[in-house]
Amino acid sequence: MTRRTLLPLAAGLLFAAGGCADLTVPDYQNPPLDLLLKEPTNDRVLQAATGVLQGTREDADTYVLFGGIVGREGYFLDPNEGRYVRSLFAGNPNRNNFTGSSYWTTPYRNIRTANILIAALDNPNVVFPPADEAAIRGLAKTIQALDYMQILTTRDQIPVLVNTSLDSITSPAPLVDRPTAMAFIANLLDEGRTELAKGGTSFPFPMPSGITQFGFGSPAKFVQFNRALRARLEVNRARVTMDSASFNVANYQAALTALQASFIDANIANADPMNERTKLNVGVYQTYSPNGGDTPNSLNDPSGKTVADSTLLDQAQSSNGVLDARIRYKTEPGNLQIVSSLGSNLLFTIYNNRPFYGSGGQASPIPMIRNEELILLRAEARWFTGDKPGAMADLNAIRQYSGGLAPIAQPANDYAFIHALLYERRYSLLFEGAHSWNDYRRFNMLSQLQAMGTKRSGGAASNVAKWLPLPANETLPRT
Amino acid sequence: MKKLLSSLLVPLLVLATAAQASAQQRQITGTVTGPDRAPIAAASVRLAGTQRGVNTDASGRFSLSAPAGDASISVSRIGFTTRTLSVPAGQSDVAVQLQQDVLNLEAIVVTGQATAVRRQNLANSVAVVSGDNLQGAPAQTVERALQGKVAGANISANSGAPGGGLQISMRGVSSIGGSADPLYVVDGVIMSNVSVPSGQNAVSQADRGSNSSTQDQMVNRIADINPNDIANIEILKGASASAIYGSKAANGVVIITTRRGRAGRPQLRLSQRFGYFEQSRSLGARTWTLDAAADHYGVAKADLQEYFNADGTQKAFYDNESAVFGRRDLARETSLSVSGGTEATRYFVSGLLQANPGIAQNSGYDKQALQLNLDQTLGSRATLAVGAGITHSVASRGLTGNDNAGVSYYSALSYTPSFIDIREHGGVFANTSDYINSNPAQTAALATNDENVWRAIGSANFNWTLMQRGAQTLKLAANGGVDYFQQRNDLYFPRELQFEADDDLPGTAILGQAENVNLNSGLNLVHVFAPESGMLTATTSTGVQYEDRDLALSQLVGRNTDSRIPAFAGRVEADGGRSRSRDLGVYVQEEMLLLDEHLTVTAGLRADRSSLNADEEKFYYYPKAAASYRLDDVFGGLDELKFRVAYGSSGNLPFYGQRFTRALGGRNLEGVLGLRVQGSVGDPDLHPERSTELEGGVDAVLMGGRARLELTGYNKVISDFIIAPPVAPSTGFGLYTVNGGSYYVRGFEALLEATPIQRGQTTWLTRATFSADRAKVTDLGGDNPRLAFLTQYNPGNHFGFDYGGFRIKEGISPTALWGFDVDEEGKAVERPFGDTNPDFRVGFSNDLNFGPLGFYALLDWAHGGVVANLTKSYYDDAQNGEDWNGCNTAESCAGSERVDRQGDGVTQYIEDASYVKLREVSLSYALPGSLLSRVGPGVSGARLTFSGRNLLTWTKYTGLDPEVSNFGNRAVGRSIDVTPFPPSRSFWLGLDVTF
Repeated sequence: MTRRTLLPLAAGLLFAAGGCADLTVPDYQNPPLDLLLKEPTNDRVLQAATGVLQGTREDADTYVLFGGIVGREGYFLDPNEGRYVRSLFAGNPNRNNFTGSSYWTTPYRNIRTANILIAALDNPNVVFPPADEAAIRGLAKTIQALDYMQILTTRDQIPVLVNTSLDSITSPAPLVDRPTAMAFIANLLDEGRTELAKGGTSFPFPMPSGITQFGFGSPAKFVQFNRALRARLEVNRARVTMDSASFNVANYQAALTALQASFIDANIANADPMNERTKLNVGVYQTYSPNGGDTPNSLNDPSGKTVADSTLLDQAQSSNGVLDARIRYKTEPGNLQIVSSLGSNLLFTIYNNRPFYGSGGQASPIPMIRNEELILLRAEARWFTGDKPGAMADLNAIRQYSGGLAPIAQPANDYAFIHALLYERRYSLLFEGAHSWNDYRRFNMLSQLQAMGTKRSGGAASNVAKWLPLPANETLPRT
Repeated sequence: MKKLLSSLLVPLLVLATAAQASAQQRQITGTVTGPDRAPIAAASVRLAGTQRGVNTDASGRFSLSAPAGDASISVSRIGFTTRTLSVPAGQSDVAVQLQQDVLNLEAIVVTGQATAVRRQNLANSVAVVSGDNLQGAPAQTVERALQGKVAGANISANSGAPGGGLQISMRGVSSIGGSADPLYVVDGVIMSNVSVPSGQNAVSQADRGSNSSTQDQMVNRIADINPNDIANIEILKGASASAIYGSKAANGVVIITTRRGRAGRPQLRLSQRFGYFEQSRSLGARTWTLDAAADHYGVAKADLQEYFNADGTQKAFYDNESAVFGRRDLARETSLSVSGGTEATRYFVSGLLQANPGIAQNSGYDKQALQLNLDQTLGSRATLAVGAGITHSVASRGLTGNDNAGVSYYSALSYTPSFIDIREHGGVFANTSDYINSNPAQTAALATNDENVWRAIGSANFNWTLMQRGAQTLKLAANGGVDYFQQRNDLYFPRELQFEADDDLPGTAILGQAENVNLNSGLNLVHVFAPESGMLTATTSTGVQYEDRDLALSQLVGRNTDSRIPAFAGRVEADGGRSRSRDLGVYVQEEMLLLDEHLTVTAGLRADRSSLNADEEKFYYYPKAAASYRLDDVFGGLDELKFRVAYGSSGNLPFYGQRFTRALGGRNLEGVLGLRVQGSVGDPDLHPERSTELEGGVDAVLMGGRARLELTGYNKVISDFIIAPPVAPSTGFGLYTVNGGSYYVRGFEALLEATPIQRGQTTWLTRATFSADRAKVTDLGGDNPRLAFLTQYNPGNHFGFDYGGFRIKEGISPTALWGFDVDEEGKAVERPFGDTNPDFRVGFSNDLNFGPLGFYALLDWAHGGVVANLTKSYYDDAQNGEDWNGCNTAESCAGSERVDRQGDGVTQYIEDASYVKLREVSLSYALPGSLLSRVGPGVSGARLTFSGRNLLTWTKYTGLDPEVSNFGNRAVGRSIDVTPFPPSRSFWLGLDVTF
């Protein structure tokens, strides 16, 4: 061997040896998504099912806050962050990262998690008893539907994401209009129901207290929650044209059918709604906890920056000189906060010392849907399908057992009924899921909402935004 | 073992000796001396045009066998210019006097992992800065000492904070969002230059909701090196020179060689310096009238009357800037080195004690260092060089830079009116909460922000001549090194602080800890074929390098506390992180010197793998090729003319974590662990950014070696740069890291060095550098179909186009600073308002010596470039800048006119950042021999020096310092000025004594 060939040979040997060395470095911060995408196991799939329940709660507080601000329910008055007032309250939402991306990224991320979970169930390495697999699918689809419904409350058109692979990362699903999105969600709920029906007696993973508190921790009971969501969807579908006069009876009929299969319970009688609201609160909730590694409810705000609309007190009805129990129960006076000429001294109690159940504080639950809403949905559906006495029975039950108010007589026309219904819905469902905004909008009455809510001193015009814009990043890849 | 070795080696030695003996015909003896007639040891004496030669002994004597007849010998020694002289057949004894190589014409420049060539044969423009050249004026960190000295290197401080934080950008920038820092190699060990956030963000909230941030005014850790220990710095500026360092070298390579011992009696050098720092630029403040103040602050005149005279004029103007930054405390620096040894064992030991109090209370930089370098000859064929150093430093950085809490010094100063005296009086600081959250004098007096770093670096280089027979030599070079540091950030903001008392949770204690280990090792084989004819020298080298970099971080933030231990606080927030990479590279290189060393041809290939790439098993290839041709004695006065051209490519690795597609685990729901989408996706093909460079140039040696000119042009293409394009959130993902696009940097560099006067005891050395570069994005999205929608891309880390931001767009420079303008219809449009990269840079230094007197000055000129002066917008928001004085009496003034323009989309805070700085100046006096004995026994030399750094700045920039980067070291995104630590100048008196 000559010297001239020695070096190339050595180089070749080094290269070969270098090619063999193992340089693997793991991700120290996070587990790889491939645990679900490529090599899922039963254990990981169950973890992902819990992940879907984590994901849906992650921005539920933002949903309540942002929807609540636009809907004149409550405000976030932070002197260092005026955009809650200038952009959201004042009706100037723009595509920048603040309002544009609010309640968008997080629910879609959870929808992706649910899609990946459902796909992982098809992997040959994942083997569950058929009932367990069905239960997981049913839960995933139902929660996906909830996420979609809440997104659709905030935007006029949305993309609906079928289970696409990661390759689609820069080519997002096309935007669809509201009827299409609603049909998609209805179908998703029905698929969920079918799976849950096959789901056996229990879920194969631990359910959090927000689901078990009122006994919804089994597939058989969870399907009632699925139907409750379907009823809410149908009532919204009935007003897809956003008009106080025209509506779609078939959807109201469908809502009544769904309600029958839900957990609606008209027996809500109590002695004093200031002390006893459990029957109203039966439902399914987002679970929070201040414990390490868990997520606290950010609507629990000891700093007092989260306030209720101060006109809620003035606008509340009274019976026999006693103010609506709902406003007395759900709010209490605090220190006056003013930011950008918007002020209030009214604090919410429902995420602090008077939660829907439990000990409150940062563990306060947020409703996904509960019995009080179901009764109001039925009142509305009954009225517009011709059962006016039934509607008034439901409406007055809420007035009496939630508001401590005297019953009202049957309104003379649809418009008067809508007016009465909107009052009950505003106070019964206050600051728990963008209801005021959605309700006044679906009856085309946002101007009334604007007239009713707090004004900024100094008279700066403040519109109620009809929709939040799509995030800038959402539209960019589509142009 | 020893026996085995000798049984192998002895026959080889015998063979070599026999070969020499047969050619021996006559003996030439002689003495080699320097300009001072002192003998020069270890000089190389060679028969010209051959490889045959000997070295001089300690008394400068040599004896060389030569063929009968006329001969020509060439004598060289590092530090002296080579002399070639003819020895007629009859002459057997010669005396050779060598001249000092002031211009470093003879320097040996590293060209590979284990090879080097003489500068005159180099095919690249490699900047060489000698250790003596770093000593113009005391510098806290090595980058400071390099400012203005390297053509093509844009060296800029991030702020004036003591203890470092500077960036070296070589030939423009070589990345968009990747690492901006060159690779630092110290005695063969790759040294970490990471910047670790201090955690001041927990208080400043510059990045809301986080406890640490890139806005923490970070120090990049090359600061730990002791500039006094540096013998030599070589800077490989572009990919054509750095290709052999592969995927870590796109930003260039800074090769640092520390001082080593020489055989001889112990040489002792002691240097003692005293000096001080003072603020060199300040902003001033408005002088108010009662009417204007009552109107602006919306209070009754009676509430402010105490500060104003009866006629409404301000009673006293308090210079609150100097209340915070007005200190001139005594700074000192002691350094000592001892070196010496025998031919077989040589040592160098140095120590440093440095205490540099800063211009603000509780700010400053203290450093202690100890370095030991040992060289041992093992038999006749092997050498072992080891180095071990330990450094400890404490940088007290104050609280500066962007904040959202009104606590950063200049953020508070901008809002504090000049009629308020913020100084302490009887232990009490004025409460300024009517104007801003904090009193900066109180914050500076009571708060602590200390960065405490221990660093240990060890290196070992083993060279072994495996065989040497005739024209063939085979050497093995093995090296290994460890670079370890531990950084502890202690921050304490006691309850008494004005802003802490306002807080719901008064008192904040922060403990950040970082531990970094870099391990690297290399094995190289070098084969040299150099036949005696001298027509050809071929050096073939191959080798392998392995590196493991591991950085682990942990942080505790305690709020509501009276203790400096955050764990004891009422509320404790914990955070942590870790990043690691493991890299392996293999290379092969061929260097040929042809035509009696006039033609140099080089080709090489490096193949790199890294755990940071999506596929850690895949090799990425970095080729290089270069050639130079030298003409001797072209015509009178032009001694040497060299044409050179070089091509090569190198890479820039993704950051740790970018390759991963992550799930979010570890979070629980009532104790049950969940697993879900985290949102970041690494492209399955994520790979290093690539910088490919073609460089060409002409070098000339003029006027009998008295002048040297170097002209270089280059075209650098950065392809596959890494971006995180916007991803539609409805996909469920938010951060997608992918290679996508390319841009070019084209530039020109010139260097002229000359010794116009070199006569006896009088010398004048002058040096000028010039560099200019232009960059343009040529492609965004690349050929990746997923990025087809991408027409522009905004890299992060700026404050939006209202103040000046960055955007990557085809046809525009990547470092352009964008802002809003108004089009003809009055609509806001976005357009570039200049480039943060200067148009050109010039360095100009002169070194004059008249016998014992020496004078030296260095000017550093950056022309063009813009800075977004957000500090000014703070003063405008507070209506408190000096140019608001006019608004006391008139409706409008310069300040209010700026504010009036805020609405119409004009970016008025983008300013010209041109500057000229007198970087270094020194005046020295060498004590005459008659005085030396009075200095102390055994003293062989003593020099008294008065020096200064950054003494003068000429600039139109109205902010504190046009050298600024709120976000620290970064490729794109410098030149954002948000209430930084102000710049300072320093004056020094020093005495250097040699024994």
